[in-house]
Amino acid sequence: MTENTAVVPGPGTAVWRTEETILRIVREVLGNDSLGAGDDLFDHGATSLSFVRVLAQIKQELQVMVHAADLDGVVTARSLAANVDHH
Amino acid sequence: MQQQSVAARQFALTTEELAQFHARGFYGPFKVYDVAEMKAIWRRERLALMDRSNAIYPEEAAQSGNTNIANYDRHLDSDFLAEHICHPRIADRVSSVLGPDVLCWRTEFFPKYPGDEGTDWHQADTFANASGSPQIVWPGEGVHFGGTLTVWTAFTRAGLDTGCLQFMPGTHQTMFYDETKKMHYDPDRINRESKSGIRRGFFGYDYRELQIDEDFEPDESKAVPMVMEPGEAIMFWSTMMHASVPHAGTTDEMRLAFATRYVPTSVHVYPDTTDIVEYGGQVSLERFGSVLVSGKNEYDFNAIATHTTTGHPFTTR
Repeated sequence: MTENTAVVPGPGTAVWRTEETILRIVREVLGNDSLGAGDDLFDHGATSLSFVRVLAQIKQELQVMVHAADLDGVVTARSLAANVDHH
Repeated sequence: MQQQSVAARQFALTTEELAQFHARGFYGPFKVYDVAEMKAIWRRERLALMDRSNAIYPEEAAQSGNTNIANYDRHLDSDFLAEHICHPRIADRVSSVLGPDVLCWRTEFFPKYPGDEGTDWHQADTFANASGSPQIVWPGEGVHFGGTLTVWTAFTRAGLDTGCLQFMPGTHQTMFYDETKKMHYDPDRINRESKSGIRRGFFGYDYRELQIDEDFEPDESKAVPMVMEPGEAIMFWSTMMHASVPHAGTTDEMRLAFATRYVPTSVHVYPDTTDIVEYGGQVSLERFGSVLVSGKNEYDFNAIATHTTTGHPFTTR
């Protein structure tokens, strides 16, 4: 199970909007519409290649480059969004 | 005296375990890491390994089909993998078989993604199978006629549904394949072929092309599956018939294994070879070195690495 302690953002907040955007990106890249914001990408079919594509898409849409080393091993749409909002 | 010190090591095989290994060709599965520990390690390292800036093989010209030989030997740039190949739970068991003086000459990742074909039945002696050039050559007298001792560690669960290994115990003393024959590479055949009704392939090759007897068909009824939890490892002669089942695709969970390959220091690694050319890629060996994981190296024909590319020292038992 993924140890994900990221706080669930309140609907309508800036963090929530970021999370929704990233969740859409992740679902599109992985071809998985049922993926949840707290689901580990690598436990749901992500490869290193598709993960790089996710990061590239985040950079393109949100103008933020997420560095894998900053995620502390937690790779979910929620953790990616938290990382983006810290920039 | 040296044999006694190897036998006395904390994780050395017992006399009974060694006898069983010699009869079957494999030992294990055995624990290297606790399940929770392995999961935490891999969660961290799967991201860290994406940084290839210190890897000894450049990514370009090495990725093809479902293989990336640029990811061979990442123990030469990853601190975790450097520690792993020298882990006492592994090194002590390897020394039990190979003797006190042991080199790690290769590591490689073996991913199976949902829907991936199983791996063909195969044996390897000189590892000339894909490249056409022998990669390890044993001296005239040794503990085995050829091959390498592989320790295959499950970094994620390896189940019947995610592509676990299969063995044919007791087949390690006789070769059914001739590595001087030629295998033809075609990445378009990946995940497209079945053998004896099972989806199988060999990373763009068909290992059957190396069969000594062209009509030989491995007896699938003799296959023994090796189901493993994250953190468990299994040790086997590469000359023992081994394969893997397909990834059934019933879970999104991928199966990742990390293979570490060991030989005695008396074995010549990559004789007369400057580049590895196989699986659709090519990498130069100019930065390569084998790692002394146990004992002493008294031979001068093998390149040796004492540290990773970032200065992390290898530990010799």
